[in-house]
Amino acid sequence: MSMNSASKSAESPYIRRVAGLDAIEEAIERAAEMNRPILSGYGLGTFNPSTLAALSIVGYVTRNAARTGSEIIVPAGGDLGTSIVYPQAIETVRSAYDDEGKLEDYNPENVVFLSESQFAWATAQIGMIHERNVGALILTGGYGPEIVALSEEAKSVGSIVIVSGGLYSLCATACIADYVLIGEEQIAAGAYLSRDPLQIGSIRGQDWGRLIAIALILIGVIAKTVGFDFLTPLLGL
Amino acid sequence: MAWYKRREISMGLTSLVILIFLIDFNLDIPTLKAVTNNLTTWGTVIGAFAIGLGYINMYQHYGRKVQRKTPGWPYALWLVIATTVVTLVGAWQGRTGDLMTFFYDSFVGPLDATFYSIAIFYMASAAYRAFKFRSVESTILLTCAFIMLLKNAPIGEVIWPGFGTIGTWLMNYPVMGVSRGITLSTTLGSVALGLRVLLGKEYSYLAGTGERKE
Repeated sequence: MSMNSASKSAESPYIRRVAGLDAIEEAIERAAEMNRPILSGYGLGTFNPSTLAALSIVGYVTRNAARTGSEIIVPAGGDLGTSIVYPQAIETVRSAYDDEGKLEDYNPENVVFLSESQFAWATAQIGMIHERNVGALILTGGYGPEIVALSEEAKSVGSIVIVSGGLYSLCATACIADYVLIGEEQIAAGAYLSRDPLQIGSIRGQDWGRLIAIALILIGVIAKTVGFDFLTPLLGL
Repeated sequence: MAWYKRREISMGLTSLVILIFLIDFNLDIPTLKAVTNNLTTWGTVIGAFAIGLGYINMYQHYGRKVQRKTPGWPYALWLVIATTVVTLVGAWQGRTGDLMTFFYDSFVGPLDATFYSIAIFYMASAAYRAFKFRSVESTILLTCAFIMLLKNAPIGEVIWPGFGTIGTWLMNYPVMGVSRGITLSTTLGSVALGLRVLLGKEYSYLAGTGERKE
């Protein structure tokens, strides 16, 4: 919060470039040049930080796609929890077109519900990648092992692949994708892409949290080594 | 724009619900517990309706494919028929009926297992492309992958017991350290995102920017 207040007076706090997020615009433009659609997914799971960030990215991708005249496909489903996010995804895509003044280009059928079964949902997306000859695959939010199959199939049709790397699929996605969003890179996407100094200020605020965590770890290690264990009961561990 | 469609209304409702759950999580207030229980039930009901909405959308999407005879339309027809049959059987027998169990055991289960096992081939082809002596990073990746492969393969430790020791060290120290680092940073990021949403500073998840370009 103090960072937010500080950022009000500053122009725009510096944060490092995130290659994966910067590449989204390039991927959309390339898909538009090739006249191929973009597949942008928001992953599995109910409303959680990862899904919220993914919806922000879907909104950003849709606005850029609407601007460049590209078609966007947003596959929905995957599990029962995701179904509650579906109406929100429809609204995100619809109003992104509305924001760009291109509501007439919005096709509700492109925010398609595929299945509530995880692998049926993934298989349908693989079919779409080949059938529609997808030019850019942008998958954010939570994914299971299917992200490997989706990325690899998209590469086989020559798509640019930008995906968020979950902890357990990170190694595989790093091998396949052109760009991987790791950890908080995805969570910070909404703020990063907005270029809003106030929101960027909160990302800077996280650095203070990280410094405090590092300091606590160091203090804890030293204290435990010299036999003065005060942090463990203090943190309830 | 109608007043109830304004972005401020959605943002206000989001902040209110976050506050209710936040207070309920930290303080033991029975009245608030009833409210959060109700809100959770609402979520379940909305989710159930959303599945209905999803299936209508799916019928429209694939029904049109069949109507227009676009490439791959027989698969779309099969999907529409299968969904209709299973929905009707489910409505008649319930989730645990004989026919529903047969559908699950004979089709859904084996297909899920097949897809899961296919993922390993995608990983193999990805590894084939990535594991090359191109740079220092890819060489480290290749070496570690080779050690981990031999640690897990039964023949690995027969060839050299060190594969097990090094593999275990890799898992317990570098991998554990990195994964905890990512978890920590993701958690801090989630807290910051929650704060931005609570304070109404981030709204891109709601519906675009809300600033219409004419």
